[in-house]
Amino acid sequence: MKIRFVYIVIFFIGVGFLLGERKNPVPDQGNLFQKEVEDYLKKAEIVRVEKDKIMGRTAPWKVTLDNGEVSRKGYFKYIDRARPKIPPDSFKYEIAAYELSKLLGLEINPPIVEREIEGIKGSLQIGVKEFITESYRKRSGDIPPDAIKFHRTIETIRIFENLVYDECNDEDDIFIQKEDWKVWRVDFTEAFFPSPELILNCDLTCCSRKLYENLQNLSDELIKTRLSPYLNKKEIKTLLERKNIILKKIKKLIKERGKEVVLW
Amino acid sequence: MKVLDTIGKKRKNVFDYILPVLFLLFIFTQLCSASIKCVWSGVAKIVAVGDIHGDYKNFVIILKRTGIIDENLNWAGGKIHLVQTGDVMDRGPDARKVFDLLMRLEKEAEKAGGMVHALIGNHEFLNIAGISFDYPGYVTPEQFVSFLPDKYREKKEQEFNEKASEKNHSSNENNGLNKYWTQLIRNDRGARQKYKDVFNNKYGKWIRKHNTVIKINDTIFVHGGISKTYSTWKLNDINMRVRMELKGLKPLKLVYEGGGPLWFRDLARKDENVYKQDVDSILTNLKSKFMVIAHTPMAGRIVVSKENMDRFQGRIWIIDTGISDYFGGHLSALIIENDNFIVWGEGDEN
Repeated sequence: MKIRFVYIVIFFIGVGFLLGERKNPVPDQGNLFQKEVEDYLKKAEIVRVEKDKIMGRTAPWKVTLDNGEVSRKGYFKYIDRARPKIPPDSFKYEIAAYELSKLLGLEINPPIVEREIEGIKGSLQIGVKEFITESYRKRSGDIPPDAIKFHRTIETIRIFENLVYDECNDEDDIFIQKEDWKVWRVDFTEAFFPSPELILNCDLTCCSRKLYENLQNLSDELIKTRLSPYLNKKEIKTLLERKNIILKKIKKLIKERGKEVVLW
Repeated sequence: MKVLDTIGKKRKNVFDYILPVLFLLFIFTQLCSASIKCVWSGVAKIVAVGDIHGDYKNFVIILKRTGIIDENLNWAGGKIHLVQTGDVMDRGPDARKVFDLLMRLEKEAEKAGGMVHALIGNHEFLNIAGISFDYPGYVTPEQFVSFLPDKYREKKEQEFNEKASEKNHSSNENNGLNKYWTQLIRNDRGARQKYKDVFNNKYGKWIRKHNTVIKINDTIFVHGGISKTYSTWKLNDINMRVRMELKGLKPLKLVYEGGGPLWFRDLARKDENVYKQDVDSILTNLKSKFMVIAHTPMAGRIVVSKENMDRFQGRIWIIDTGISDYFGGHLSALIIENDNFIVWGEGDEN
């Protein structure tokens, strides 16, 4: 009897463990780099705000941050014209894209947090040091030191652009750090167009095994919980639909071309 | 049978109503987007002025010193074509006065055989769409007040005075009143609506009858710039599309796109060696030799000079030198005479 009881307890613990794993299998916490930078963005003192340095449709403020040890530049976006307002453009989409990338274990968006400056709510993003844009790289003929890795990151960005429905292949929004060729994708303030389909002429060709797995495992509930402060119901609904379309598309590609060709 | 006849007649009548309505709607949309001339040739002298940002005082100085107007502010330019490349509004106090002057000069120039081309800038779009308020500091208290109906403004000023006297503050404090207007700009939807009504009923209507991009002789004039994508469009199509979007007849696209003619900055910012081919193909597509753009102040340079204003071996000219006091008051104009580009205001740090 006692042994049976022990087996039953072990069985239920096992089931509980597995369910728990399924519920939240994605690297939810983000990596140390992201966490550290987020903390810095939230807590560092804002020592300078330059309002007319960067022009543009969101006219972000250039901010100098200092925590006593490190001084860095950041960019503060405050425009909040979330849908149904037109033309849609909101710092909330920027934060939603970053939160989603973290849920997928991606490191393609420079860390960003919500913060208030001069009584105005907005998003504060860490500035990318010394970079060139993909547009510049292509025209100047610079070849990445690790071309395969670089190409794969661009493909990852394309999947993410489809997922959040932002402009595809905007080479000026792809920043390449000169120092180490780390690639960043910036500016999602117009993302999350509520369309239940993928972006036209923004085809997917390959995907990392890790991202494919994370996309499969990422629960709709977790997405809803994390992104509902920033997105409306329709934007979330269509995001989930696009996630499923991407998964179907990758499955189809695997069937047609083989796992080894599509996944890396 | 009679009953059936009547029903038949009634049905026919309803149908008869729908068709004319649809027809009228079609005519209306066609009229709204009707093409306006946007290409001129054989023009001997052109004077182009960039972003004014509500600085009436500096605009008048430029117009006087380039011979466009006389001491009484009347057209004195004869057959000159004056091009103002947009962004009359925001950041400064006197956009309304600049518009009023441009409206009058437009008529006077035409009588004299000249022309005033007031192009549409991104700040005109922001105000027509009512979203300039989203940007702190764009709509200044002075600009805000200038577009409010008189009675409404007086009512609000009275409200302020009453509150100030309750608190024992001096109601004459300009600072206090300015703060009050700034608060209204930020938070008072009703006040914003009043502003939008007056602005759109008179000035918005006038702006919507204007062009975004024009070609005079071999030179394109546009606020932001023409990207590769839009260089394949006919100028007339760009202009019609922008007008339709500003009238709400088409979804907002061209007027808000980063690569659209009101916002494009690449021609002012990109590396000249790396992007030379892009510029060549843009100008080839536009069948033009030169493009004059504004919108992007000369990359932070403060001296008005040919070197700071021309790019890509004199094919692109940036005329946003920071004319308004808000941007440093660097007064300038670009004068084009027989394909010669002369900078007025050169060397002045103002």
